[in-house]
Amino acid sequence: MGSPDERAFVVFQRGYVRDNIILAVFRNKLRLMVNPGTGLLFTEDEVLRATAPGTRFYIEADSIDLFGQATQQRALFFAAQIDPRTANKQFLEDFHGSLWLGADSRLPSSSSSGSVLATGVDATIVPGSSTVPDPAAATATDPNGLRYQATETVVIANGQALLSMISLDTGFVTRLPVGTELRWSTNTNPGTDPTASVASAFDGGFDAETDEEYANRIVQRIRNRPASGNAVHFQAWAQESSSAVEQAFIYACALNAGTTVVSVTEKRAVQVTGLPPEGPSARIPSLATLNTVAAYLTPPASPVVPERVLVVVTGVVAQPATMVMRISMATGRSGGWADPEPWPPFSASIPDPGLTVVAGGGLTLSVITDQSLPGDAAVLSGTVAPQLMLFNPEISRWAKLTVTSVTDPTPGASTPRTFVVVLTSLPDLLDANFVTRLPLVGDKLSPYTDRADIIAESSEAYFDTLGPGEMVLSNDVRYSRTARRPIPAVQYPYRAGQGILRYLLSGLGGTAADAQLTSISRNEPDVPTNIVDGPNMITFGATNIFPL
Amino acid sequence: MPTPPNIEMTPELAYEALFQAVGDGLRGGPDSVVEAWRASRAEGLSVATVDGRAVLQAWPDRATDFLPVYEELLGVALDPSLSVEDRQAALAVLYTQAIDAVLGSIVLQLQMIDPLFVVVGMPYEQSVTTEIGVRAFSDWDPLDPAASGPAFDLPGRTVSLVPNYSTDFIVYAWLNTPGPLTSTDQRSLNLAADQLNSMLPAWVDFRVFKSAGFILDLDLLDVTMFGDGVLP
Repeated sequence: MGSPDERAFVVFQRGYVRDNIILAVFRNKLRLMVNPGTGLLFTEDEVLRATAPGTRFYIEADSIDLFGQATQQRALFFAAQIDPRTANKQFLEDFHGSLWLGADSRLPSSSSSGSVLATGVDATIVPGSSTVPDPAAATATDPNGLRYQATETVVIANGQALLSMISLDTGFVTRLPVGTELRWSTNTNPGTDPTASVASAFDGGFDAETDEEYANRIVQRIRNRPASGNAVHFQAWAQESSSAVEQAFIYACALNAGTTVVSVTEKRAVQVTGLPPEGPSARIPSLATLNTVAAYLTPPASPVVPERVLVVVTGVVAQPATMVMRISMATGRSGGWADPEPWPPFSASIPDPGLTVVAGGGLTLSVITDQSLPGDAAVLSGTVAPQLMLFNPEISRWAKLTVTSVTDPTPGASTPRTFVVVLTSLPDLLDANFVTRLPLVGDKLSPYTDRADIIAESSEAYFDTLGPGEMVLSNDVRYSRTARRPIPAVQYPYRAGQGILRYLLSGLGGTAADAQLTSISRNEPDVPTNIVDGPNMITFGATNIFPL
Repeated sequence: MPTPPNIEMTPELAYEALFQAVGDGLRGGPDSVVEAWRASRAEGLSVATVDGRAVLQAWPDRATDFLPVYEELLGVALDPSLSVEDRQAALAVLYTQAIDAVLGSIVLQLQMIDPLFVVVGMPYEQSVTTEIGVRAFSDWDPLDPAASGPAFDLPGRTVSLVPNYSTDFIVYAWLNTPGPLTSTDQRSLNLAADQLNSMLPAWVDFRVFKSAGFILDLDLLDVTMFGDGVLP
């Protein structure tokens, strides 16, 4: 084998071999040769004319160049297969997947779960089972014919009963919205009404692992070698148990020797046009996901963990961080702050104005600030009314308000006072079940920008890079062993802070000149009071944004 | 079936192939235009067909241009001043490494940190084991007269802190160096802790310590560490 230089994998631009190799070598040889027609050395003009485009030599050199490009494409294709993240589907599955994760290791689609309101005659039992599937449990079908099983036995009282259900069929299509009608199909008792309705949106249903997700799992395997049930092994087991699992966080010996606590986060589902975003709780695992992981990891039934081990599988507990951010964008235009003089501007004394009173069926809102309206006006209405938006913390987005007027009780004053905002129509706000809701006291008010969605998505992307915090304090005797894996300094940090600005400025591109995180309510999650509740994780909380 | 050797198309091989492809009467003289053109095409063909080198990138110990790809895949940043051969060797070790937590491997890994590390076994008669998993999830109130078991009544706890405790689940790694603790010893102890954290099963705890002596730790069940001053 030659030296590294002789083994370098070089690629050529189109025309390089033709011009810089074949024709260049040929021209140099001709310059030293005698022209048989003249008996003199070839002149530079003759050499150039003999190798000019369209000549026999040029065309033949060009064909070799093309041939080289074709073989080079083959080489480039092969080179792309070396990294799982750039390999094509067949190479990914048959080579990388088989080599690192085993044959047929791509994860199938997963179940979703949620709560359902059953109705009927009092004292009627709706049988359920945490064993899935269980032929004795009540099952129902949705309008698409997909099947769901009750996971708990409940008794109808006062004409209704709320119960948890899990989908027997799998995939994104099993994420049922609130109000979906389910028709009981098996194992219900007389006295149960034939239909039930979804009371909380179903969560956790994911389609089969995508190429990207599969490749990333392979890369994790290459980077961190699982063995003997170490922390990396538990991560791998948790991830291979369900395509819904984003990451597993391992707290070795959290309940001292002989135990392991595994905390799971769920993937954020791809946002589908027309459906609301999942919001800050997207990564909190659904009951279906937790059940699947727990069944896979908990001895004695676990197919992977030895019998003598006590494994506790938990989700994570969201601890929202409320923020105030200031962003330098152009004013009075799209692609920036909508108003020439955005109101309310940032106030150090009242940095996070929120609604204090909601009246008039949600159309009359009160907010306290010490910032006067533009021009110290008493009332701004119609086309000059301030353009405003409210933060919808349940889905981590802002909703634009259709403002009729804003009234200042003491125009020009510098003291905090209650402004009254009158709306023309109700804003598009959603609750945690993605059902329309009215504005609520405490909802955060900001001046409007049409870049609000980008700001929200960028912030959400930042918070999605965070992981849960520690289970025990650093002065606890268990800390050296129980400290979270993966290590926060390497992957999924748990501290939130200025890092969000990088995402924000990157998302806004040239729109924003600068940004400032003025305040954040918490930088790191608390250590849980009770370990089996799972660790805390900082999520995207209510946020005000102002011009900088 | 054996893999055929990867024969790279050198200019000489290309030239020979082109030369043999035409009849004797058409080959041209040594200094002819035909000869010059044949040699030029041979140079081009040899360069245009170096794609076989892509195959070499598929192995970290043979890769050249793809060494950064392997560094990124393995999550390591090697010293850029290292030679290509040294980087290949380091990446090949990482790419093919396999770890396990059997006793021999643990001892081997610890002794790579310091040859004086010893893994101390716990005699059966001195081991401690709790009843398995009886209190992990129970909403246990120690003041409840129906409650049983030891009173691990730490404030705010509703679960036992030691639901599955056993000294069988603890690795005792003893750095048996003479004299008082030195900075080198401390570094070895830290490295040993990192190593054990990475390789041990997640339900197995460890203690790393130096020299003899008895240990007063915070674990209520760890009474076996009291003794004659020498670890069992």
